[in-house]
Formats: sequence, C-alpha cells, structure tokens
Amino acid sequence: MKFKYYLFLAKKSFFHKKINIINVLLLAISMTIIVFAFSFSKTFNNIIENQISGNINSHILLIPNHSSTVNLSDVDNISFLTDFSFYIKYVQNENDEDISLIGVPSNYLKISSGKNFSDVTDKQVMICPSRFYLGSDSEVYDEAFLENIQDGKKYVNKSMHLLTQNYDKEYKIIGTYDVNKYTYGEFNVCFTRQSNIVDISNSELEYLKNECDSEKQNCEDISLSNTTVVIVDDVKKIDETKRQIEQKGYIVRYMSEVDTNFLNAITIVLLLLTSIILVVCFIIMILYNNKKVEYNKKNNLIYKAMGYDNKTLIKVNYLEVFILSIISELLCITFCFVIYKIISQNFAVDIKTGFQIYISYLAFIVGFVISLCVSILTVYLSINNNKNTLIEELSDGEI
Amino acid sequence: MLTSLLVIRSVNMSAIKIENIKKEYKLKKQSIFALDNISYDFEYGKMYAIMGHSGSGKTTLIQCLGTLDNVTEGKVFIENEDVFKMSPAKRNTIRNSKIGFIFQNYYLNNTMRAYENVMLPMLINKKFKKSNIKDIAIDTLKDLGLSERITHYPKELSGGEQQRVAIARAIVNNPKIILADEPVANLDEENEKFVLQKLKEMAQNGKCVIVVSHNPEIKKYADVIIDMKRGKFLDNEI
Ligand SMILES: Nc1ncnc2c1ncn2[C@@H]1O[C@H](COP(=O)(O)OP(=O)(O)OP(=O)(O)O)[C@@H](O)[C@H]1O
Ligand SMILES: [Mg+2]
Repeated sequence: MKFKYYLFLAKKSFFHKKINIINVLLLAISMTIIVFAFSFSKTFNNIIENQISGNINSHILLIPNHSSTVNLSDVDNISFLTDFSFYIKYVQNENDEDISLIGVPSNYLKISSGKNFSDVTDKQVMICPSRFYLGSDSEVYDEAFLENIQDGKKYVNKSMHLLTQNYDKEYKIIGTYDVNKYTYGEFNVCFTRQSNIVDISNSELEYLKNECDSEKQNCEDISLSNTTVVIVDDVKKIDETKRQIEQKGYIVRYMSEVDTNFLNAITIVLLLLTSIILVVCFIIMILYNNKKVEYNKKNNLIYKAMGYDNKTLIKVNYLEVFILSIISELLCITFCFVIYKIISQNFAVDIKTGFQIYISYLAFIVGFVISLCVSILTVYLSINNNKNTLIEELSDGEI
Repeated sequence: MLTSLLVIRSVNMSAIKIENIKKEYKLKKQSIFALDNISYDFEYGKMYAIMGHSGSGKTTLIQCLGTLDNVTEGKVFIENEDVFKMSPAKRNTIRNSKIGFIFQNYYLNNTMRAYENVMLPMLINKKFKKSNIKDIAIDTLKDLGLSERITHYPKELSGGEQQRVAIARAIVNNPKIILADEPVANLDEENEKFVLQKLKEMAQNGKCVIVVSHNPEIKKYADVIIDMKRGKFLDNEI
C-alpha cells in the first residue's frame, strides 16, 4: 500500500476519536511530569555539584592547635594538605573583618572571575570568595544578614592590608572563587601563595621570640600553634576522611559542615520519586492505549473482511500512535514552557536565593521515546493477540 | 459475442464449494455444532437465499464461506482452491479481490465520508495502483443513486443510504462473490426492494450472490433457497 494511504488511514483514525483527545492529554501530562522529575533531579544535582562539591570550603577539614608536623600520608581522599593558615585581620574602607588565609599551590584553585596565581607575577596577591559577608555575627540568615553580603567581584583589583602583630602588607585581590550560596561557611577564606604564608609565619615567630626575650622568660619551646588545612577530593566521603584522621589522634573540624547523609538521602528520594513517576506514567499509557486499541478492534476486523492483513493494520496503528506521540510532545513542550515561565517569574534567579532551574532536555526525548515504545507495544500485542472472530466482535452491535 | 462466451464460462464454474464442514463452539459444559456436516456447491450466476431460525448457524456459515473464520472439520474451496491450504496472504488477497461482504449493521467507518469508505478496499488492491480511486468510488456511489450524498459522513445518512454505501464498498473491487448477512433487516420496504434488486442484478451479471435473510420477500428474488436448521441444510431448492 502507498505511504499516502497509510497516512490517510492513520489521520482519519486519529482525528475523529474523542478518546484520542484524552490520550493526547494524558501522554502530554505524563511527558511533562517526566520532564519535571528529570529537571528537578538535574537542578538538585547541579546545586550539589556547583554549590557544595564545587565550593572549596566544603572540601576543607581543619586540624587546629597542634605544634608537631601532621603526618597524613596514609589517609585516603586527600589531595592537598597545608600547614600554614592564619586568621588575619584586614582593613578595607570602614569594614574590618577576620579572614582566614590559606596557602595553596598556584594552580590549585578554580576561579570564577579575575585571574589565577599563575596569571600574575606579583607576590602579595589573594583570591577571595565570590561573596563576602561583613559586619554581621548573626546566625540567622535574615534580611539584615543578606544585606551585608557583598559581591566579591567588587573587590577584584583592590588592595587590602593584612595585619598581624608583626606583619602589615598590602595584598591585591586578583580573582574570586565560587562559594556555596546556601550554607554560608564559617569564615571568609582567602587563598594566597604558599611563600606568603611562610613569610607571615616567620615574622610571627620572630615576634614571639622578641616577646620572650623582652620578658626574660624561658622561651626554648617557641613554636607556632598551627592550623593544618586538609583538602579532600570527594566531598561525599569527607566524613570517612575525618574519621581516619581522628583515628590518628587529631582533633578535626569541618570548615563548613556538609550534611552528607542528608545529601545522599535527598538523592535517593529523588531517584525513587523519578522512578515511581516513570512507572506510573508507563502504566497510565499502557491502560489508555489498551482502551484505544479495544476501540479499534472492530474497525480492524471490518478492515480484515476487506482483505487487509495484520501487517498493514499494525502499520496504520503505529503511524497513528506516532502522530499521537508527536502531538503530545508538542503539547508537553508548551506545558513545560508555561510552567517554566511561571516558576522563573515567581522564583527569580537572584543573588539572594541563588536558585536556578535546569531544564533537562534529555527528558523530552526520554518522554517521547517511552510514550512511543509503550504505544507501539500495546498496538502490536493487541492486534496480534486478537483471536476473536468477526462474529464475536460484531455480536454487540455498532462499531 | 466474446463477452457472452466469457459469462457462460464463469457461470459454469463453481464459486464456493464446501465439503462436510463442521463448526464446533466449545462452551464450558457442552459444545454446539453451529455447522453440522454440510456439503454444497455455490455457483456463479445464481442468487442464493439462506433462511432459518435465529441460531441456526447462518452467520457462522457466511463467515466460513468468506474465510473470516476457520471450520472445525471439512474443506472450503473458492474457485476450486482449498482456502485452508492457502497462505494467510493469499486468503487476504482473495477476500479483497474476489469477495464482497455486506452486513446488517452496515459497519461503515464513521470517521470517513461516504466516498472515503468506498475507497477502502481499493487502497490495498494492486489493480488500482495507477487509477484515480476517488473518481471510481464516486462513480460507484452515483450508480447506486447516491450522487447527492458523496461527501456525507455515515451519521448524516439514513439506514438505506448507509446500506447503499456499504454495497458500493462491497462491489467496488468488482468481486465475483457477494456475501450478505441480513442486508435488508434494518431497511424500509422501498430500500429493501432496491437492495434485493441490486443483488439479483449482480447474480444475473454472473456473480455468485449468497444472502442470509429472515425476510420471506427474498424468495421473489433468489434463484435458490436454502433452509437451515441446527447447522444443517434442509433440501428445498426451487
Ligand atoms: N463465538 C461463539 N461462541 C459460542 N457459540 C457461538 C459463537 N458464535 C455463535 N455461536 C452459536 O452458534 C450458533 C449459530 O450462531 P449464528 O450466529 O451463526 O446464528 P444465526 O443463524 O446467524 O442467528 P441470527 O439469525 O440470530 O443471526 C448459535 O447457537 C450461537 O449461540
Ligand atoms: Mg446471524
């Protein structure tokens, strides 16, 4: 049979059935739910990826107040460990705030704006967070707190004084790195070249020695009480790493606490939800397709009386469900567009919430393929398994 | 001269021959023989009326003659070919080109216009590959007096008009065998006459026409009357 005729039969069979309106709507809704389940998972995964795993604060474990060298050579999941870290007061305009300075190798950080250490030759340079929070000790993240958050980009190319008892140098901020937008870390952490930390450390030691000398005390054991900074590779395994270090007798603190149990639980819940939605959509599609094919059965038997074979009828039905799937897909895209508009207008993407929706384009294809597969399967099964004869089918009257 | 010779040849040929056919319906406790050991030879150029009480097996017979259903036992030959030894594809081709079905309830496709319904058998017929099948469908409808109803949907047509569309659909491929199950049961007297007259004309033109009917009126048109009772033929040919 000519393709033109297949199309004619499929079109006729599609456009004059009320049941198809229900079917299109149902498929479109199922597809939309699939898209949103996928998009929601993707959004959440992105939050985890960008805001937690991508945030250096979440990777940091601190071993405070020890004097000997820390040996962590047999601890897993560690890629960098520095012994030099200071709390330093900086002075900038009228704000002054404690910041924590950590030495890192020149290519360790991923920057979000400005330059990296390897891009400049100056010695006293820092890379600071993309968001500073200044002048608030509040534990509550209220409006006042949010107002005190400064865009770190504003500080790029500006200089600050770093002060300790015996050290006062101007540092230029050359770039920023991204920080978690939800869980504001404990500290404003800036990074600098390791050599600077050595310098600060030496001058501090010198100051302590002088103090001892002037007070004529016994200063044999002068050493700096250091905080060791451990940077872990995989945030999700940070608890295990912390445990391993603690087994070696050290006290370990998180730089910013990441509730990994919560993260894992949420991931599992999302996965479960998505699978349940998929299964439910699958079942709905099968039920409705079945109903539709039941509806077609008598028609098909009349076609058989005219000499049509199963293959031709199956092809016509396939074409019909293909038309159906395409129309549902278009409707689904429209739904998604409208819903996306509504969400993004009401939950505007801004610096305060840091909320951004990711649409999973893959889900459109997945939804389409699923609906097509289910439809094709039901058509195939119901035509090939219909052993009823015309008498039985026609015995109850009208088509 | 030549055409009449051809007609005479086909008249002599057996259209459908059945040999000892049985059709058994197995129910939970008992089984029913809807067809009980029937043998018969339906010929071209004749109109057969099959009559009998409800449940006597008339519809079952029509379905088996038209290869829509299998028999439990026995053989069915169409033009001397055993239909149950044919491939399903061959049976489909025979149904399409050699047999036209007419049903009591018309069974038109409600989503299609009258002429589109008539086009359906032509879509899969190789004979019409290069023809304008829409024109053929319209001409067939005009022959049946439906020139004003060509683009109507079945729901917009009266019962008699629907049955004429169904007849157009059954004969458009010019099949040599017409199987009609209660074609006039739902029609008024005028339409009944029209349909029976059409069927008679077809038989006169050399086709084999087999009509199931309760209606005694059919006796005026048929060449052969077969009474059925409990799946058997009672011999009372005219
Ligand atoms: N699918 C089936 N399963 C079981 N029994 C059946 C089936 N189809 C028909 N029968 C039985 O076979 C017998 C013949 O049925 P059929 O439909 O051929 O009768 P009929 O002569 O056409 O009757 P009517 O005049 O009412 O149309 C009946 O007793 C019927 O109950
Ligand atoms: Mg019947």
